[in-house]
Amino acid sequence: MQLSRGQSLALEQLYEIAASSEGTLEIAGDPEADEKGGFIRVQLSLATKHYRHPNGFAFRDRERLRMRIYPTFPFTAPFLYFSHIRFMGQPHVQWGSYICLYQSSETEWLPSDGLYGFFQRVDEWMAAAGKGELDPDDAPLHPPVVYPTSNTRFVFDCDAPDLEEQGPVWIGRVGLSKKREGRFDVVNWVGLDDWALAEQPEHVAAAILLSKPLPMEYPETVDGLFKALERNGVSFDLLYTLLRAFAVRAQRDNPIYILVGAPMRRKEAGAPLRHHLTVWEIDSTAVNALQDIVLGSEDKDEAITALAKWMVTAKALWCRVFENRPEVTHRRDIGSNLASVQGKRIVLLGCGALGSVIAEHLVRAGAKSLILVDNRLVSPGLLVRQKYSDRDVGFGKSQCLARSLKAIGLSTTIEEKCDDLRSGVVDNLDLCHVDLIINATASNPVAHGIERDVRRACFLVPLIAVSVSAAAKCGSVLVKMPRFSAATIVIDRLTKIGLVRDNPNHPTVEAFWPKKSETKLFQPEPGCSAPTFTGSSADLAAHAAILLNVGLQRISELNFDQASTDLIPAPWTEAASSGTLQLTLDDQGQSLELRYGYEVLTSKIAQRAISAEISRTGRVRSDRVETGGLIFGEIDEAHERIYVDSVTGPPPDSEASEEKFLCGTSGTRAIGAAKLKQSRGSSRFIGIWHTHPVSRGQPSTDDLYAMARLLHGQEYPPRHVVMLIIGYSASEPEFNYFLFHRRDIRIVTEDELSLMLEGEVAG
Amino acid sequence: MFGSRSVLFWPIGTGDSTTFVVREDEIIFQVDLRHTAKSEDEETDCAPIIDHLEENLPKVDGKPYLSAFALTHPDEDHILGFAELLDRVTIGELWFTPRVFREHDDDEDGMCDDAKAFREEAHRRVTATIEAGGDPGSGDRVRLIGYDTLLEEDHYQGFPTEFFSVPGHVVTTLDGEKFEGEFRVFIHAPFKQDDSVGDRNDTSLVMQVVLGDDPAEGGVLLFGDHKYPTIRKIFDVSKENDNEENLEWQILLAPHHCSKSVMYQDEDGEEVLKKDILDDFEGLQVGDGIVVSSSLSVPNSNSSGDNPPHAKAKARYEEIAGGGFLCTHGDGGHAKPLQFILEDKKFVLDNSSSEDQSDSRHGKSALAAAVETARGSDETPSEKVGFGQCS
Repeated sequence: MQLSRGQSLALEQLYEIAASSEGTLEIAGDPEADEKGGFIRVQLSLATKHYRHPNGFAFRDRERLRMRIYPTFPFTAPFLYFSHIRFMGQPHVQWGSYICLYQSSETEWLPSDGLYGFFQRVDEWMAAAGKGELDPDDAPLHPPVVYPTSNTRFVFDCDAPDLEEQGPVWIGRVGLSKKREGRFDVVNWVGLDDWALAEQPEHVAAAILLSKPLPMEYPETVDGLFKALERNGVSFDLLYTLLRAFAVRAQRDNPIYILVGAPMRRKEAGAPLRHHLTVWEIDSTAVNALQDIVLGSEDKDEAITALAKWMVTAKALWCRVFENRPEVTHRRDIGSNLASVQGKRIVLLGCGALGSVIAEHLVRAGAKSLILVDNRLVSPGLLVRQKYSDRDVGFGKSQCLARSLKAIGLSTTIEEKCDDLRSGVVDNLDLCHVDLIINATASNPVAHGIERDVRRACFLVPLIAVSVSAAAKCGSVLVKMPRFSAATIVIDRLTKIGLVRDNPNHPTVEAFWPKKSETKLFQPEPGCSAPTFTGSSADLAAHAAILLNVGLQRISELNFDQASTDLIPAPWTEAASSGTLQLTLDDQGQSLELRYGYEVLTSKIAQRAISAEISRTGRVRSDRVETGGLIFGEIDEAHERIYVDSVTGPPPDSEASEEKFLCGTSGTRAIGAAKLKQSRGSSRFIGIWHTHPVSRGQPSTDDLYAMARLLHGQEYPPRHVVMLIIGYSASEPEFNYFLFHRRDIRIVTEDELSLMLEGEVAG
Repeated sequence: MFGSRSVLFWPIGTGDSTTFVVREDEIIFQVDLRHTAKSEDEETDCAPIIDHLEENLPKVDGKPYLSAFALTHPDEDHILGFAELLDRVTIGELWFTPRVFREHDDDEDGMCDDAKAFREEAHRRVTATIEAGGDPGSGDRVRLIGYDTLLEEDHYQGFPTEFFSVPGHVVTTLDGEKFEGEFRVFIHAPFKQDDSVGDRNDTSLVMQVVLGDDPAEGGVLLFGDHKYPTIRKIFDVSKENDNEENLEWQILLAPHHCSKSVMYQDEDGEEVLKKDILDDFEGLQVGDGIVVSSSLSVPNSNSSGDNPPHAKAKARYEEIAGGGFLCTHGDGGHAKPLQFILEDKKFVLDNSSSEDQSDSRHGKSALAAAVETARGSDETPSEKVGFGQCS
């Protein structure tokens, strides 16, 4: 046989190692070619005396090994065997002699290190085997080896009954769900005592759970299996009775199945032993014979002969088993951000480009329930980037998405709704049974609806809102924790004020709040469709995954009364080099305006500026002298909310005394314009603040007169104005806000006033 | 030293000296001897065996008393120091195999003085026994080991059969006393001259010595200097006669001081491994058998033509012996014998006689160290290296 280049290389390395080993590794004889197998076989003798320890493999001073080197070396690892079967049944020795060196040769085998790495691994393996540490108590247990010989597959999703160690053998049955021809899922376990009570599904299998381990390699023959079971306390009579009981209810010419469990698995360090489950298929020949025997057919003698022959000569048929029992498997997403949604009840608003992707992630992550809310229909153009198919076109998005998610077959309960979300969610959902809301609608009306919900209802559910910028270059994820007292409209506005001020040129800021609206609205079906953003399915899938991950991470990090925003550029865009922007917001507490009951959100910057000005006046003049200045922010009549973003001190032409504060105007126009520009249109002049150093913070006649002047006496009067009076500012300042609409103050003549007063007295 | 029923293999260089304690501090049976001037030098790890025997043997009439001495064959590495032993110790009975001296009939000069002394003493005892017409008494006793026709020869006519054994016989007496239940020797060889195979070494006395009465418990196998063909034949004959239990062993004294000629044969100029003999040895070990090499330390490798001990032979024994391979030099304490004490019918190495030898280099296992050496270092050069253009 012509050696491949790899085989020549292997021999070269092998002889080199042996020559350096001072006799530890001996190549016994010349390599032999196995023409049929296509490999070369090398006999080795390895000094193993020093690997030997009590409780480990009973190594002799030297062990004889066989190595197979395939032509594809070094891209495939050689196979190594003991030249005897003394270690049959030991962990990591398969087929009696094969040495299972790698848990995964795909990742652990290094072609460039060739036989050097191979023998290093052999050394480590022998050392661990010698110490009996190939399957230590403090590590997961390598399951025993069962070589499937049947084409039927079994999936185990539910845990096996808990057995006391050294307790009796458990006999029972499992209910099977036949997923398709050749695949059964084990859905429940019923002990012998409950046999009559439990509902019996169409498909069942017998189950035997042993209390002692079987050999590491399961018996290959029926005879061997009978003997192994007998050694473990399952008598021939018992097994025979079980076989007959299940055979008689089987259909003619069909196999039956017996689950055999032995305590030979451990999930992780220190975990108790669990059953390794295998499924033994009793072929139809034996089943037919059993039926003939039990039913006493004419062919009974023949049947007894056939059964006896089967018991003595037949190979044991082992089905392929797919383990998914929580007691012996780890979820593959363990430790991930997504793992936090396992068992959670989630509402997903919007089943579009982001939502349809996020929904699938939530189902795969093991959410307990998922309510999909979307009232739109699937249109053909959506197939470009949303998780729908042609057959969905014309149907409701939530309905179609629910159908495809259910087809994944995981345990999440999925419900679809087509509510119009513009009125919020609290009227349609019982938030007491929701653990998380994800808003993937990127819809302002929906955001406003939820904002109203938060004002009017008890909304103690964390909320994540995701969206992307035009052209899908940046993603945004906003998180409201349960006790943050506002929702995404507020978070978004505060984010804008904060990030635009501190990072005016950051590309993500520019993407979401451009200085000029340069991005043209994109209408996929011009004239009759809502504007949207452009972006591929890959873009959106990537954003959806990133935003969901970040959102869930923030929920794990934030305090209950915080909120956050992350602006994340797509890694493939130029903006990526600028990195992400993150902002955490603390709840500012509820402060109410005193005339209309508006909610007031005063920024920390504004609070600090007011305190600084009061201190300054006290220092340079007297703490009894009034002071004040302008307020910049926003009055949101829709949500009845006042944002106080910043304040100024007294303009230079102001006048102040212990009785009065006259707010000047010098330079204020310029300041107002600058604030408006800096906030990209969000923060404007909204009122004036002043102090009452030693009196209550209630409007005086002068104050009211000032309001009248502001609302009616200006060249460009505002529609409404906020007056903030800080009472007792010299000792214990109290912030009182008063909102005055223009309509609240009317200019009347003295006559009109007299008439009004008379009317009031008369009334 | 002789306070427990045991077997001792002495570090006396490459040669054999095996002592059986049949009854504590009373009945001692010695097989072969190699006592050299070198062994009297405390700097070496050779044990001065005669000194030890003289000191530890039971005293009878004020003189150290050895119940019996058996010689496998009269090569110097098996008999050196016999004359001195005879002088310093009373030997109750000699085990004498005339066949093993026949090879020297034409080569008197090739025989060492101690071999001659042994033969002379043996002949003296044969004569004394014949003259006594039965048991001549301790100090004059001799057990003749040979073949049926031996007693027809002139020199041995009239020799009492109670002191005569042939291959296939079981011996349970030592120096005239029966030790049934305590001592049992099965004689395997030498064969008749016509049946022998191979060279002179193949005439050695071959025995299974059991300190008990059941050969299936496994004994100590002593093959002298036999090579593959004779050992093969011994196994075959035993199998033919359904006698395999007499080859069962707990301890195998590696034949010919760990020579590879036991399992390697030259066939058409090629050295061929005879796996059959290893399989037979492996199959007949009782429990975890131990192979003992009575030799200087076995080197890691040999050059062609090296005398025993051979590394290859050691490696093969290590692969089959469940209890491992031990060498009288290196595995025992300094100049101390490897002593295996009989405990509940099992020979157990007396740990005080051995030293723990770990097969490691600088804390690494030997295999890991070999891989590292073969793989090569990635250190930068430690010495200057010069370069230059061609002149």
